[in-house]
Amino acid sequence: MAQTSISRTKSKAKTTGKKEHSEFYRNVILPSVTYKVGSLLETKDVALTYKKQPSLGKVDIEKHRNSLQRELSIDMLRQGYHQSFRELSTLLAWQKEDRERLATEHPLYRRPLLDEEPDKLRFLCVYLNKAEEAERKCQYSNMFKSYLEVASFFIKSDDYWLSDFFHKKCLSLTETYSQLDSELSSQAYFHVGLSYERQGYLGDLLKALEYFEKYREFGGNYYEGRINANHQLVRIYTKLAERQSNTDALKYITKAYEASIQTDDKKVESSISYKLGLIYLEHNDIDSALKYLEQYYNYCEQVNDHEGFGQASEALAICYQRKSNVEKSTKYLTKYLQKVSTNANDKQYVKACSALGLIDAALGNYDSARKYSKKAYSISLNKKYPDLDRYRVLYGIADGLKLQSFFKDRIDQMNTHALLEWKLTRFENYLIKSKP
Amino acid sequence: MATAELVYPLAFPKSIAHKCEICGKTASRMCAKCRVTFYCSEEHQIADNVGIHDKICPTLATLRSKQPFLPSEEERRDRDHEIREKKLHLIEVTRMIGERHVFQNRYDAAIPAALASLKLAMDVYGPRSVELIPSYLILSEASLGLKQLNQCWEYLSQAQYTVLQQQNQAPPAITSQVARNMAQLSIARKDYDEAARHLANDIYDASLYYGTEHYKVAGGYFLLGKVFKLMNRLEVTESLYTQVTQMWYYHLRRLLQSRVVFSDMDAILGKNDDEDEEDETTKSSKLDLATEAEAHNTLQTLLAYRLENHHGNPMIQELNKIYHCFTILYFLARDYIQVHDSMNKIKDCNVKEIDDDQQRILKFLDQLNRMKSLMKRQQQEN
Repeated sequence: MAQTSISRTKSKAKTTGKKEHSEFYRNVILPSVTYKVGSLLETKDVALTYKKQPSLGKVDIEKHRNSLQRELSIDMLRQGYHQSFRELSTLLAWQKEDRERLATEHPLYRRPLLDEEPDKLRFLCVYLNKAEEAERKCQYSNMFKSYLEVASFFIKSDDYWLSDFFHKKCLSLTETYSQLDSELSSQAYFHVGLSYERQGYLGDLLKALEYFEKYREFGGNYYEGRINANHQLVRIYTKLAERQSNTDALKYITKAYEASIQTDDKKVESSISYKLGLIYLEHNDIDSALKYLEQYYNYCEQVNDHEGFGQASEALAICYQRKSNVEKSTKYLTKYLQKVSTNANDKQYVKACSALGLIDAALGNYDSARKYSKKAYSISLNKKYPDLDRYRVLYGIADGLKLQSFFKDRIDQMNTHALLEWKLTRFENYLIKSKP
Repeated sequence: MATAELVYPLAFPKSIAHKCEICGKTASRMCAKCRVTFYCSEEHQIADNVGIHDKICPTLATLRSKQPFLPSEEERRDRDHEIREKKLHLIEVTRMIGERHVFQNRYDAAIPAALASLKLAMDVYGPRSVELIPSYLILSEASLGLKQLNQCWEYLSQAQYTVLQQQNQAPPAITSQVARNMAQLSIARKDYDEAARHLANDIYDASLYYGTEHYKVAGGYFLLGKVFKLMNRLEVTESLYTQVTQMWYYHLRRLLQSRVVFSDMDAILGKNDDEDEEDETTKSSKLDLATEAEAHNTLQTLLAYRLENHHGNPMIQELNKIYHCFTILYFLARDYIQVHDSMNKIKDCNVKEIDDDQQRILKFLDQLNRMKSLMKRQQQEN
């Protein structure tokens, strides 16, 4: 009994998945001839529908066989865009050659070859075709615009070698067809200058400088262009100044200043004047330094830029100190201190204190120097500012300088014993107490 | 023909049935000189004789005659090798002759020559080899010239099928030639889209093989320009023809400059050049017959196009370029009278390169004339 029930459940489990066929169906109908003929008809239908499918034409077969480059090139040639075809093949060949030239471990290798990136290739082809079309109709501005589009596309996808190439093409266009709109030509110069700047070597920076100058020249009638050009020039000059030695740096910063005046942007102008002031300070040309630093100082005051104000005050104080004009330097610093003392724990406050301490130490007011640097040190200790070590050192210096005279006296008297005692404890009282 | 001999097909031994060289029907005539070439009729014999048989009659005699039995394996191998070498040489010769016939527009003479080269190539390489394709191409060009478009189509299909079978082994130079001829056929059939497609393939393959600025690619561009002209899109034609001019200009100038000018002088004076030197230097700078004919045809068409389409103001720079190309071409072909003619047609030329070249050519011609007059005087004295 148990066995038969098990077998019954088994067979039930099997047939529940499929359609339930009765025994009669299975044994009589399925093997019959009419059924077989019917299924044949089904397969015949399938065959007919297969035949009705359109067969691939020659062109489609070729599409499946050819590489992407070949297909795109053939498309372009069929429509007569032979220049685009040649550009494309030179670009791809150039990239491969470049890869071969570089060592195999170069990180550039990780990026796929242009061959294998279909959307980039297609985009490139479309725009090359547009450019060629425009060239045929002598619409050089359209040609320029298509090249510019391609270049900006490749900038977005980080392919700088391509975008540089196309920017240079734009530039050569402007140089050959001088009746082009000056706005476009100025843009060409701008982009080429940027690409040189990006490459970062000194020679390239100088070249970039040339191009930015030309940009300014050409953007002359065009207000925004001029402003932008001057901004770029300011940037380039500062970069060059950073890289170069002192004498050249001064030249570059002065030029940057001239450019910044023309940008109509007070902020840029004053920051450059600050840099100029610093450079003059380095060269010990105090008067010119003062002029520019004061400009920066006034601007920061206007705009309530505390940090800038602090920098300016510091710099001015150093100038006056070099000029040995004690009152003025202290005046500036105390002003700074007052301004910043609204928030006693502010970073600026700490800086102000330490600056004042430094100046005082240089001038010989050891007491006040010590007081201020101690303040700076304690606040930065509390707040755990990153410049803690600096303030610590300054405090130590101020402290030491204060005790300097006593120290010297002791040495004169050859009172080594007292000195040693003091060294052990380093309390001031030891030294001062035994002053005769 | 005097050299014909009548033969009776029924007189041959059972297994031998000689067929006509040209059409393949049962042969009833035989060439009396070599006694191994058979024809079905006098016309075919005359056609073959004019085309190729005159030049290769003796060689064929040695190739096709029944070889005696040689006892040793080595001797047989050597003989086979010799025969193969002869066949290879003959293939080249027949091809060149066929091509020359095609350039000179003697299409009916080209067909026997090409057929002969085809048969020899099949003997040597087998019926499916890529080496047969140049022969097929000559045949197709000849039949195109004779306006037998279906024949042309057949030959080209054969060539294409061979390419397909040996898919990766056909060098792009050959596939580009096949595509070019297919394009010419499509142009004759007025199917301009097909022609453009074939030419695109041709240009792509040729650029792959030779480089994008090579003059061999210029042929493809030229035909493409023709196609667009027939489709009435003249601006495309304009830019394509400019490109063709540029390519030929560049190539011809390079030939002019690299040509060892003094080898000509030495030839006049009777000196012998070093064999090796000549091979190396003149290989790249040779202007062979095929290229010369092609350049000539192309430049003439370009000139005609320029002159007819711009009645008002022809692009003078372009015209000058074309004339200069002609100058160089005639100079390299030693046709010195024409050189002066075409030089005089150049007007208003500001290009320094052209002036330089012209100076060189004139100097050379000057020296040549002086040499010639010197030699004449010497001869007169003697």
